[in-house]
Amino acid sequence: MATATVTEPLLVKKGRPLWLRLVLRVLPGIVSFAAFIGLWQLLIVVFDPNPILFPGPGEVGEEFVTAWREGELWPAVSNSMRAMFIGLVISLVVGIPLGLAIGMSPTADLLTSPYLWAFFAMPRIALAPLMIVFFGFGMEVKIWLVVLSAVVPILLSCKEGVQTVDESLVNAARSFGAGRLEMFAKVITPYTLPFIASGVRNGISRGFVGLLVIELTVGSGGIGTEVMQSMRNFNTGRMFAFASTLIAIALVLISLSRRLEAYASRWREEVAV
Amino acid sequence: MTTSTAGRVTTSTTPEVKPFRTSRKRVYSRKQRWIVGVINITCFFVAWQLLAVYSDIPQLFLPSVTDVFRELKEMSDEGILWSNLAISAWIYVVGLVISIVIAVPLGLFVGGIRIVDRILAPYVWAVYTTPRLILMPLILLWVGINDTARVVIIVLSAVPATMVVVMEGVKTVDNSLLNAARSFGASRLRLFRSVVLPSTVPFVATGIRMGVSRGLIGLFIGELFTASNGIGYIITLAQKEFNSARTYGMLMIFLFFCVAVVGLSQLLERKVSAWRA
Repeated sequence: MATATVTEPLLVKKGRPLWLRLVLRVLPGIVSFAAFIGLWQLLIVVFDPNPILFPGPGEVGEEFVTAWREGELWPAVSNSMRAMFIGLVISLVVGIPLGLAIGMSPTADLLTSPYLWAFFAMPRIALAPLMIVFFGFGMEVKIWLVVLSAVVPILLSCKEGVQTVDESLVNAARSFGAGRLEMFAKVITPYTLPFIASGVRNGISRGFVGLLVIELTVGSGGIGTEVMQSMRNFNTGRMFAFASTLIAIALVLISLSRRLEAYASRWREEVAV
Repeated sequence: MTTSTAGRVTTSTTPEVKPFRTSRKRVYSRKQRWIVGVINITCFFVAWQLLAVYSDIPQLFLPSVTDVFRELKEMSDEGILWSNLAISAWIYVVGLVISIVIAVPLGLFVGGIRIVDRILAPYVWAVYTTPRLILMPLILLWVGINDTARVVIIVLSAVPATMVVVMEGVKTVDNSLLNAARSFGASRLRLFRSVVLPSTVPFVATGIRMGVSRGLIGLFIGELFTASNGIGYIITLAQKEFNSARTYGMLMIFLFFCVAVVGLSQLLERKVSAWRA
C-alpha cells in the first residue's frame, strides 16, 4: 500500500480530465485484484482440488450472493461492526487522555510502567477466558475484548508521543512565555498528533483481532461466528465468502486509518511505524 | 517513593525554571526504577489479596493470591505446569524459527529488487493488515487439529510482521554508501553482502521483535482452537471448570513467558542497532 501511494503521482499527470484521473487512480488496484482472481481460478483449473478443501472464486461468489439474498450477511456484519465501533470509542476515550497524562508525568510513568509493560507484552486475547467468566457470551464480552486489545497500543503510542516532544521546541515556547496550558495546546498536542493517529491505526487492527477471537471461539454472533459455523458444516464456499467480507472491511478500516495518520503527520517527514 | 517526592519539592521551590519533564531527562535512575517497581508490584499483590479476602466479590471472579499460588504449586507438583509450559515453548520456538527463516530472506528479496517490490509489496501489506486469524478455521480444515496447525498459525502471524519491516529496511540503505561501493567496483553480490546486509541488520532485529510479539498471539490462538495441551489449553479448561484460581495462575505464568520473550527480543534489537544511534 505504501508503494501504491508512491506510484500514483507517476500515473496522474496534470491536464487530464477528472474521470480519467479517477480511472487511473483505481486502475492498478482493479488490475491487481483481477490478476488475483485469475490466478485463483487458474489454480482451481490446474489442480482441480476438492471444493470442500479449496473452493473456486465462482463458488465463493455464489455463496456470497446467497448469503446476501437470505439476509444472513448484513446482520452478521452489523453485529461485528457495532461491537468494534463501541469498543473503539471507549478505547479512544480512555486511552488518549490516559496516555497523554502518563506521558506528562514521570512519576505516573514510573508507577504504571510495570503494568503497561505486562499488558504490552502479553497478547490481550489471553484474557478472553477470564472475560468470558466475567461477562458471559454476549455482546458485552466482545466489546470488552476490543477495548482490551485496542486501548494498550493507543495508550502507549500517546505516552511515547508526549515523551519524545522535542526539547528545543518546549524551550523556545517557554522562553516566549507560554504557560503550561498553552504549551499543551500549541506544542505538545500538535507534536503528539501523529503518534495518536498511529496508535489509533494500531488500535483498530488489534481491536479487530480481539473481536475475531471472541467471535470465532465463543460464537456470540458476528462474522467470525458465521465463518466458524460454515466450517463446522464443511461449507467452505460460505466460509470463504464471509472471510473475504471481513478481510474487505479490515482493509477499508485500515486504509482509512492510514490516511488519517498521513493527514495528522503532514508536517513530519517520516511516520513512526 | 520518597525520592520522587523529594525531587518534586526541590523543583517546585523555583517555579521559574521548573523544567518540562520528558523521559529523555531521566528523572529517575535505573536503580530507583527497579526499587519502585518492586514495591509497586508488591503493593499490587497485597491490594489484590486484601480485596479478595475482605470484599464480597465472589471467589469465581477474584480468587485470593494465596489461592492462586497454592494452585500453581499443586500443578507444579502434579507436573501439569512444567510439561505444558515446555510444550507451548517448544511449539513457539519452532514456529518462530520457521518464520524467521522464511521472512528475512523473503523480505530482503522483495524489498531489495525494485520490480518485485512493485508487484508484490501491496500483497504483503494487504496480508499484513488483514487479521490472519480469520484463516484459523481454514487451517484446521487443511492441516487438521494438531500441533502442525499451531505452528502454521504462529508462522502466519509472525511472517508478515517481520517481512514488512525487513522490506522497508532494505530500502533505507544510504545511497551514498551504495555509490561509493559501486565506484570502487563492487559487484552486485558484493554490494549486497558488504553494504546492504549490514545496514539492514537493525531492521531485521526490529522485524524479529515484531514477529515475536505477533507470534505470541498466534501461539495463544492456536492453543484455543486445536490444543489438547499447552498453556492456552489449561487456561480455557480451567475457565470451563470454573476453577478461577487455576485460570489466574496460568495467566500469570503466560504473562511471565511473554514478558521474558518480548524482553529478550528487545534486548537483541538494542544490541544489534547500537551502532546506529
